[in-house]
Amino acid sequence: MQAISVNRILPLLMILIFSCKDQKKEVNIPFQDTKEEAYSYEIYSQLINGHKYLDYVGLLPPPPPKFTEEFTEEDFWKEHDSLKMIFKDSILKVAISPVLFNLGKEEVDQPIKKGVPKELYEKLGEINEVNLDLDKLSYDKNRIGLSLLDTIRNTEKWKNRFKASNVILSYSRVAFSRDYNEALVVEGVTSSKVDGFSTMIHLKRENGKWVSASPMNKGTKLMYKTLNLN
Amino acid sequence: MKKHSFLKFTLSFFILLMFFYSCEKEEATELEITQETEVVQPTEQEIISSKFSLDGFDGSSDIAKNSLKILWNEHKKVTLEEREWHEYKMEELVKIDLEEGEITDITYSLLATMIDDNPAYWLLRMDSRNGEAYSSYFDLEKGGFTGMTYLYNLKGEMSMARYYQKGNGFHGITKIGNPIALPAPSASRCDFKVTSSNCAGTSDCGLLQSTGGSGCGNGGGKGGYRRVRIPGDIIDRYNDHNNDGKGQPNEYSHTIFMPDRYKWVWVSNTSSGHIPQRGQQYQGIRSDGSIRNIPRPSAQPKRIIIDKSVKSNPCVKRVLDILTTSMSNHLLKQTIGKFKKDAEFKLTFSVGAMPKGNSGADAITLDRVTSNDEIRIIINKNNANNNPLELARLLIHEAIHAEIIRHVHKKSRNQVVEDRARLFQLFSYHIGLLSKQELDSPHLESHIRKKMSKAQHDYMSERFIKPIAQALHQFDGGKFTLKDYESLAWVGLEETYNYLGRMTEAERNRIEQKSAEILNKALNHASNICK
Repeated sequence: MQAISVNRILPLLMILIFSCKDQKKEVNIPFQDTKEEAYSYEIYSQLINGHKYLDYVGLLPPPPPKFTEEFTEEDFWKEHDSLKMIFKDSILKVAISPVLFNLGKEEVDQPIKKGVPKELYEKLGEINEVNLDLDKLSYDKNRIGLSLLDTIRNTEKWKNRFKASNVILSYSRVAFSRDYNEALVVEGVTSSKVDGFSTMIHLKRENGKWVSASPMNKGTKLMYKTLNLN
Repeated sequence: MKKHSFLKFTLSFFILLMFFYSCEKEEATELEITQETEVVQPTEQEIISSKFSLDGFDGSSDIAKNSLKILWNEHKKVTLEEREWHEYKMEELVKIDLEEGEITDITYSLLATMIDDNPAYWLLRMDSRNGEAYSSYFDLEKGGFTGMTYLYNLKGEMSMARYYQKGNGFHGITKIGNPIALPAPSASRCDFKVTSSNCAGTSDCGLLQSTGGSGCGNGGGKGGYRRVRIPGDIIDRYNDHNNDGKGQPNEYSHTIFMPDRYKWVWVSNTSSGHIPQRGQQYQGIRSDGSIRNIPRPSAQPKRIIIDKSVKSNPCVKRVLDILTTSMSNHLLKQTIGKFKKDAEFKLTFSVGAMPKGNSGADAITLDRVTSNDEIRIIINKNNANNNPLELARLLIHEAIHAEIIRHVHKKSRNQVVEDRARLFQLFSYHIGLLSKQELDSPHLESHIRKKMSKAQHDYMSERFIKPIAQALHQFDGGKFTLKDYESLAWVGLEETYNYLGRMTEAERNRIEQKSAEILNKALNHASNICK
């Protein structure tokens, strides 16, 4: 009787074991293919290159509340432009998170940004995390100094993370459409321990370059219009 | 034999059928005769009341039609230029609260007149500016009414607008295509025809000169009609499942924001501009799903929310309690106090994980104003049970950001907000620095947000160092001098020009050292409320 039981159970066990193995394999795959990897790093590089030293380092004075005869608006812009020249070769110190994160279901469940295909949005929440390979990034080394962020908390390095870098950048995995013509990625920008934001960026491929695929978020557009008008 | 039976049956059936038919016909004949003798003609009043309906009234107009009731028994008849006008009083079942402004009272009445045996209706709205409510169109002149009147047809389209000053009706704006001339005051009028009540400017309205002479001014060169945007009403909805017509605090459901409307208003030359006034409504959702206006509930929905994640972090909770309740005139209390008075935005404090893209932060303000207009401050749970003074300065810093975000959003919605010229000058300056490349780039949104962040930090470095220092000095029991606490206030502002550009390296080093000293003492002190 025992023999009969084993003969029945064993095939079942074999099926279970092999199916579990298959699942494990799926989790460990970083990129589906070389195209996904290449395009991902293209996008990350482009986004990193978009950051500038003077965006984060306040060495240009803002205008005074009121201009006077002694210091006119013209004087202000002359001073501004000459200071800008002084810092044009300064290097922005960027620490980048070593993990390309998975957005997670909670953040993905937020209202979908207008113009973003739903399947891309869902994919962003599903694709697994993977470690970033700094060597695969191509960025302007004359302007940007890139290093991996040490994420172990409560160390001296962690406490001084904003002394060592002007800004910390983090990126999600890139969700691509099947034909690789559209992409969705999240960029996190943290400039101090009390200041940061994340933006979802929808891109399309045009003539070999990644360009914006969706209009600006409605709230940001309204704020931009309001602030620009004043 | 079967055939015989069938025939018998059929014959009987037909006989019976004929019998019943003849009986019915006789009855019908009797009835017809009866109807002919009892025909009654309805009165004009009955026709007017029976044919009236607001079902087709456009809900997006500025009339809360579901709260209006016609008092058919309170009726007035007036003859003007050989035409009879009926006017019926209207009451609002629940009055809408109005923001403070020029309009003091809003009342309604229904005007009707017969055209070819059919009633034509206009709903009249009277926006009084002289502190008195008026109930009849025909009392405006003799009653010395000051304010605006609007006549709407039953589709909710505005047919006429006219301004009165102490009973003197000014030139009005009338929509062409009205079947009859609408009732007007006896003073000479200029009914300037507009092609659409939705025109946005003088070019498509052919409208108004603000000086006297031609156009729809008042002839004395003292103003004209302007088309202004009125922010949409805010409606707080409550689940009124017991149908008692009241909103309890635990019944609050959500808040909706009606779209902005456009109205004609009179703007005098001496006025700096019309102050738009939005309405605040309260509605109960009954058990059958129907919605009715309800009076203002005794307790308003919470605008400052302490998330349960804070309650389960005793250190954060204690610090927040002290900052918001025990300390009088505290900066945090003043800052978040603006949310308490704001029906539109709510502020949530929470403890949790940072957004995935900002795991390097200790605290963050989510400035994505969501569909229910919530601004959220998150303290990193890894910092939640640490140093109370550190927590205090994080909370104060973030609360200042949250309030600035609220202010900017309100301004972007054209609401009346206090002037912060310097803040907006800084915003304009930083955003104006966006290069063409950045404007064309796929992460323009990220660039804009960076600029907005810089502007806010510049503003805080100019205006908030001393107030933050005072707040922390008070919170910490004044163990150091006020000047020393200024060191702590610079957290998050170390990249501003006031810190990097104006201070010497020695001054910055001193700030760093003093901050570390004060925080260390707070952490190790016996009075540490987080121990």
